[in-house]
Amino acid sequence: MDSLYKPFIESTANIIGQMTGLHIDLSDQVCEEGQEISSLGVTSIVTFAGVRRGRFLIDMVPELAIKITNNITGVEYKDVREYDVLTSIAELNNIIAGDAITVLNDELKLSLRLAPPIVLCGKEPIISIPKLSSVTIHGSSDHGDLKINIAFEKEG
Amino acid sequence: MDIKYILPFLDGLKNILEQFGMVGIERSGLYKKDYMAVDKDVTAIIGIVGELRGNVAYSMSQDTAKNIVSSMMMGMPVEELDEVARSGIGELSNMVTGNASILLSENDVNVDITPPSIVFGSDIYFIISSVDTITVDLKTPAGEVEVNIGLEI
Repeated sequence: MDSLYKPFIESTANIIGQMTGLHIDLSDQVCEEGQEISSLGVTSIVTFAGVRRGRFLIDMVPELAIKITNNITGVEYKDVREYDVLTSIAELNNIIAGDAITVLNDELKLSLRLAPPIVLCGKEPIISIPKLSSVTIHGSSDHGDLKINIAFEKEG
Repeated sequence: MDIKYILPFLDGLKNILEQFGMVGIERSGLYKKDYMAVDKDVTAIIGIVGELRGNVAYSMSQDTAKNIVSSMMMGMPVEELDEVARSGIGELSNMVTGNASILLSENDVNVDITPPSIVFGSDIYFIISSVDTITVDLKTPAGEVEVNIGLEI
């Protein structure tokens, strides 16, 4: 497995487990993705720049986003559009991406810096990342599906 | 948020659109948002890292996006927002934010930009910053463009 992707995959399962107590099953299959990604409902994107530029995306069904927020905050939220739900998913993504790029910066000296996380939800949004090839890893939980997508610009 | 951090993004958009022959760009609104609720169909988001940290999002209708891409392709008609057209909007946000980063560096603020993400869909809620988002509406010959700037300063 590409050493650029592995830290993101490991951090996703570890941090969601540590912060929420939820078990996420991530597939062993790494799928090459086209330039467009259809959202499952709630998507958070963290972009980064340094020696390489790229982007980490975490996408999940609304039910899982609500369950994650409820477990983190201890408050029962019902609507995915509530501010606390969206910002919890954004912060979760920030922590996962921060953990992963710390590993990449230590091991590969990439000097990556994260932009703040973006989070969005809406009616079947499509996210396009021109000129950036990416990989997707699908996952599941007792509260619905999620996927992560990792993209790096080619060197040079 | 200091105006000196906002103007480079507006000037960047104006500079780049003018290079494609779109002149007479006017500011038509300025407001502050907690949430960034967008009722426009196309949003290009690009991150900023370095001495400033944040995201900038350019939102527009499909028709505006088509008009802009058409101008970028020397007036070639754009019937639909296909892969080439979407790539054009991504490139536009890259050029605008790159231009803004040069303008910022002239004021001794050094930033780097991250790859753009383009989001399509209706009735989309975004949060692009944990602090406030400043929104500026710009009237351009191609249609209205909403520039949302969320910087952690």
